[in-house]
Formats: sequence, C-alpha cells, structure tokens
Amino acid sequence: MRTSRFSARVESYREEILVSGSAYLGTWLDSASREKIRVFIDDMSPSGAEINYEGTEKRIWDGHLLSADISVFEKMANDVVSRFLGRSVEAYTVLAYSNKPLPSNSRAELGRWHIDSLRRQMKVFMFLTDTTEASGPFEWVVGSHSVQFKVRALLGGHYWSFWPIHRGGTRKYSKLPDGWVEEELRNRHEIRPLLCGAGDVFLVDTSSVHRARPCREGARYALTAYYRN
Amino acid sequence: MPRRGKVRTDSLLSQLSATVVKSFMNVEYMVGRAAGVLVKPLSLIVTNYLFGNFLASELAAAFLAVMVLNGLLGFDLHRDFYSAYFSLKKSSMLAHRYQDYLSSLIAVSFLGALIIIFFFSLKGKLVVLSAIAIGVYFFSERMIDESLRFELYAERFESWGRFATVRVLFQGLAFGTASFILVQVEFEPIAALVGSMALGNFAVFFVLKSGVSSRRAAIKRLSSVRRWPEAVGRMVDVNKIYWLISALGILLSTSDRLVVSLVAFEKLAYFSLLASCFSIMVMSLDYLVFSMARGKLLRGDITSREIIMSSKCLIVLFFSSVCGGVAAAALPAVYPGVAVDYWLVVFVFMLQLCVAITVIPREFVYWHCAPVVLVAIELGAVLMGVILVWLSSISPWPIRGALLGLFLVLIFRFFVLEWLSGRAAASSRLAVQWSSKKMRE
Repeated sequence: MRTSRFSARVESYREEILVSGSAYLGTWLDSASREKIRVFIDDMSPSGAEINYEGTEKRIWDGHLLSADISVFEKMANDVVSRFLGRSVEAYTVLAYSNKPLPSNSRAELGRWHIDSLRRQMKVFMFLTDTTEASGPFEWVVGSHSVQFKVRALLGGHYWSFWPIHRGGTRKYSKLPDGWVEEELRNRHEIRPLLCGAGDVFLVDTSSVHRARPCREGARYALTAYYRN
Repeated sequence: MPRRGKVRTDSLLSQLSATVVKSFMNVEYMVGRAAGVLVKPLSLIVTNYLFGNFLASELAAAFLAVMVLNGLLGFDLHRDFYSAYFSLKKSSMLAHRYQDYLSSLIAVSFLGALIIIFFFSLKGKLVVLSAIAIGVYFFSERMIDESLRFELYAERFESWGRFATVRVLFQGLAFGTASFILVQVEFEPIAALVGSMALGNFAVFFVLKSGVSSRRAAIKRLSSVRRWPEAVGRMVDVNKIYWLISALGILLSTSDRLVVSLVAFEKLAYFSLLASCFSIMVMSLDYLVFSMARGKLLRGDITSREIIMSSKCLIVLFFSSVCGGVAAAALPAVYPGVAVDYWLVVFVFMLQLCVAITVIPREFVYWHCAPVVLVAIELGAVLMGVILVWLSSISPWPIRGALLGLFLVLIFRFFVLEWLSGRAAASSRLAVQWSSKKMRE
C-alpha cells in the first residue's frame, strides 16, 4: 500500500487514539520485505546492538539509517504522525528489535511498566511476526494517556519522585511498580494487549502506561519509530 | 616550637575561614547569590525529568543565547548616571542622566530581544512563539540585572539578596506552574517554560515595593520611542575597544557550550550542568583569592604568577575542583536519560580550570598593557578556536576533537597572557626601582 493512502485515513483512527491511546492503522510491507528486516536484525553483531533482559532482547537503534527497508517504514511513519499532529515531523530514531523467550522466573519479567513521557508522545509500531499472548505483546492501560489520569498519578506521587538520586538516576515514571499497575489499575482500567498479525501497524500515545509483556515462547520482531513530544 | 610550614598553613586557613565567615554574615546576600546560581541548573534538571533531555537542551540553548547576547551588548550604559548619582556632590543633571540611562537600557534590551527573536526564528528548530518568549526573557533579564547592579553599587547587600531571592522564588513558582500546565495542555513547551521565567522577572520588577513608583514613572516617560535613536547613538558612542574586550571575553568564556550546541546539541543541557558544577572553581577563585588580591595586583605589588602559585590559590583550586568533581559525579543521579561520558567530564574540568586561572593574568594585562594588546590576543584565540573547532567537526570524533582544540586554544591564551603579565610586572618594578633611585640621588 502506498504511504499517502496509508496515512490518509488519519481521521478514522484519530478518535480511537484520543479515547484509548492506540489505534490499528492497517498492514504494511510484503512478507519478503519483512523477512529481510528480520534477517537484518538477526545478522547484526552484538557490538552494533543493545542487548537487554539477560540476552533475550536485541535492540538496533537508528535502523532507518542502516537498512533501506526500515527507511521505507520510517517514511510511512513520518507521514502518519505528521498528518495526525497536523505539522511536519520526522522520527528521531527507528528501533529494530527482537525478543526471544525469557528463562522462567527471570528477574527481567518484573519492573517493565512505564510511561515514555508526561506529555503526549507518539510512536509508530510495526510487528514483523505474529504477536500472541505468549510471544510478549505490547500492552497498555487503556485511557492512562488522559489528562485526568496523569494529574491523578502525578499528585498521587506515582510519576514523580522528589529526589531521583534514590532511584539510581532513573525517572520514577520510567519504572512503575508492578503491584500498582497489576492490582490497583487493573481494577479500574482495562489492560489491553496488542495481539496482531505480521505487518500490522499501530499508532500509540506512549504517555500511557505500557510495557512489552515478557516473551514466553516463539519470538517477537518489531520496528518502532520515535517522535519528540 | 611549631614548624614554619604549619604556622603558614594555619594562618592561610584562618584567613580563608575569616573570608567565608565575613561573607556568610550577610545571610540575605548569600542566599540571594546561591539562589541565583542554582535556578537555571534546577530548571534544566526539572525539565529533563518531566519532559526529556532534548527539551532540556533547547532550554539550555535559550539560556546560553541570552547569556552570550547579554555579554555582547554589555555596554557600560550605567556609567554616566552612576558617576553622577554616587558622587559626593549630587549633579544637577541627575534626572536627565537617569532618563538617558533608562532610555539607552530599554533601547539596548529591545534591540537584544529583536536579535534573539530573529536568531531563533531563523534557526528553524523552534516555532516563532518560542523565539518571542526567549526575546521577552532576554529583555526581562537585562532589566532585572540592571536593577540588581544598582543595589550592589549602593552597597545595599541585604536588599540585593532579598531582590535576588524573591526573583528566584517567583521564577520557580511560575516555572512549576508552567510545567504542570504543560503536562495537561498541548502548547509550545519552550514558549511556556522560558515565558514563565520572564514572568517571574517581571513580577519581581513590578511587585517589589522599593522604587516601584519611580520605575513606573520612568517607564511611562520612556514610552515615547522618539528618544530611542538618540539612546542607541549614545550606546554606540561608548569606548569601542573596551566593549570589544568584553565581547570577546564572553565568547571565550562560553566557548565550550557554544561548541557543544553546534556539534552535539542533544548534549547541551547535560554539558551546561557539568560546566555549572566545575564553575565553582571560577567562582571560588574569584571570591576567595582574586577579589582580595585585586588591589595589590593593580598596584603592581604582586604578579599574577605569584597569585596563581600561592598556597592559598592552590588550596582553593584543589578543594573547589574536588567539590566540582563530586557534583559532576552525582549529576547522573539527578539527570536521568543521558549516558555518562567520562571524557566529557574531564574536558569540562580542564576548560573550567583554564577559564578560572586565566582571569588573573587577563586582569593584569587589562590594567598594565595597551588595550589593543588584549584585543589582539582575544581575537587571535577566537579565530584559532573557530578554525580548530571547524577542523574537528569534519573529523571522526567531532565533540572530543572540538573540546580538545578549544582547550589547546584556551591554555595557549593563558600562557600568552601570563607571559605578558610577567613582562609588564618586571617593567613596572624596574620603573619603580629607577624612580626611587632617582629620588635617592
């Protein structure tokens, strides 16, 4: 599908993003191109990548500068976000990454819930493989991008720590307590996983509470275009 | 019997502590000073925490531009009015000079605001609204700084301290409110954050009771822009060579941040904070060593080398660099989201050390050599810096190369100034010996 046609449907998903924080845009790229990107991720040497979660996650930053196929994705994502925001924007980086199954009872299962920013921050995700409950879908707290939610969380001290030195130099909102999300928030809000097929593209406001659920089986490959808030 | 070295160290420490105690006696002044030094770093830290590093770097760029332009437009507009106001015999022309001073000040501030709006609009990264906010912030900073300068000259240190503290409190309140609103409302963040700082300045300017009526009256009188061309004419009529020395000086002392803003913009906020940490060396050397030796230096009783190599100077440098190092080491804990770059810390330390120790021979050369000599050295350093930074920017390691190049330029400048000050001191001592010999004969 051409970029302009893909992004032209902005009005149809605007409402959905404003209400829930995420919207499905359609399917992008043919399977051969997706396969090429997966091979690119697998072939990248560890020195050119960031390895997390006990070696199960491989992240390649600035993928659009390294692969022509990812560059095509970046252009599409730019067009989508520019139309959504009503001004011309460009992604400051595109992340290409893969997740393999975590060993059971790994510590890396914990402390994954976070928000990217207190202000609205848009990201475009494209999944290169089918994403199931077990392969570690992206999941988010529906409606947690709303102003009321953020103000409540700020005033309740969930997003803001007066003295970040106690947190080892991290922002409080970049690692939210699992207990708060899984117990307190789950009672009041829906936590929705993005279960999708290969090639599906989503526009997400990542100022909502979200995480990548730990991968249990199979593998998850994806691209993410980042935009400044 | 105590050893001679111990006695010497004891007397040094007691001298230093006496200075510190004397300074801290004026609590309001010290609180005002501390608040003024901390407000910008704190605003960068809060911006990074709430909105990310890139926005903090944009804020740091706004602060840097305002500081540099303030230096570049640092004409001595106050000179005539101050000399009339503070002289024992009050001048009959005082009211006229006051009007002249204020009209020149407003004209220069307005001109600076226009320059800054033009610059940031051209830059393309910020929208026009943000550029206007930075221009307004420049205007407010200039007006407030001039008000504070008057308090200092009048030796009303308590009043200065109160003024500076209330200013920071207003700014903090406005900044906090703007940040809270930004979480909820889609608005240009730089316009809101910088605008809030300007609002804090204006609030303290108009709210503080002392001199409110006279300020309002003065501003009312100045509402006629017909006086401005005349005011700008007087501004241009200042002693150009001293203005040139001051302008080149500000370019060199902020050159590290200017280079980082060009070569690695996203690191500007973090780099500015590192520079703030190590600027404690510059401040403590100026406050604890140089301010007390300035008189002797100007009379030629002591050379800049003697000051720099004195135990007192070395002790102050050692302790202030340790403090700066500890603050720089703690910085990642309060500034999340940026990878720690130890090389950057080393470069900032070396550059700030250079700036700190250069102040002394530069002052000596300023008073004992022809002004054109200092202009030539400063201009040469700026040109060398531009060439080296340009060469590094096309090299494989732009930021480290640029900072290393800058360090070489600054250290070379220090040695040239030091050599010149040594020569000037020797010739002035020879002149004194020759005249006393003549008198004996």
